[in-house]
Amino acid sequence: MEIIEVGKEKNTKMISVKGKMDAVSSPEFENKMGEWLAEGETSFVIDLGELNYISSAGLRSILVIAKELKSKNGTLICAAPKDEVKKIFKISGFSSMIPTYESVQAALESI
Amino acid sequence: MRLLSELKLAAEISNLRDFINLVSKCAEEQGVSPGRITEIGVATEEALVNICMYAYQGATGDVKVSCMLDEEDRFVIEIEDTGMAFDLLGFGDPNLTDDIAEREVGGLGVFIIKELMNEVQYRREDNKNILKLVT
Repeated sequence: MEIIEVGKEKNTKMISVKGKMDAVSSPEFENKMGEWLAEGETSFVIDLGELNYISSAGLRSILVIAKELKSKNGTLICAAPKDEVKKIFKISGFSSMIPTYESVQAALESI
Repeated sequence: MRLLSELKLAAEISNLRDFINLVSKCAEEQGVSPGRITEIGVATEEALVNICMYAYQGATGDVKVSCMLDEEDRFVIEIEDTGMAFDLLGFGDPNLTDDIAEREVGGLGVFIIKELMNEVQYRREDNKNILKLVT
């Protein structure tokens, strides 16, 4: 898994997560996001366009961060999930819980 | 049942990807589509993570993953451990409609297995838990 800082727009940190979010790599996502939260970031768009795989460990990490952001009145928006990831989001009810858009642009426009 | 390939390693998260790679390669050789291979990988991971975290209660133990074809030529994965008896099919489904604040962290793995696989069977045999995932 690779976590890339794409930049900042509309006071929102733009992140791209690539590869696999499984039980091996997900703690890394949680740690990295935790660092940004500690630096005071409260708004994120996560581009999932190059994420090929997510398991419940990945969902768990996203939920942990989303909960923390919620308690700080922050937001976490997901964008451009591939079909494989979209299916796991749908099965687990994440698509109706975590705001998810078809593209990064659509995610940004929602802010 | 025709055995295609099997791998036995310590039940540790650090071995997870070796198991998933084996299952993915085996499924690919059977002509399973890339999208379906990802789903099979996720279901296998969910089962293995449960074993790594709970089966041996702090002690160490092994887990064996076998890829097989059944009588109907369906691709089957059997996951075997010698930890405490645990039938994951008895696990209740999570509440999927809670919002972020109320939503419980965890508890999704078993549900995802059941949703992704065509058939899931559990049996306890010779002090082993054997989970059969039919794709």
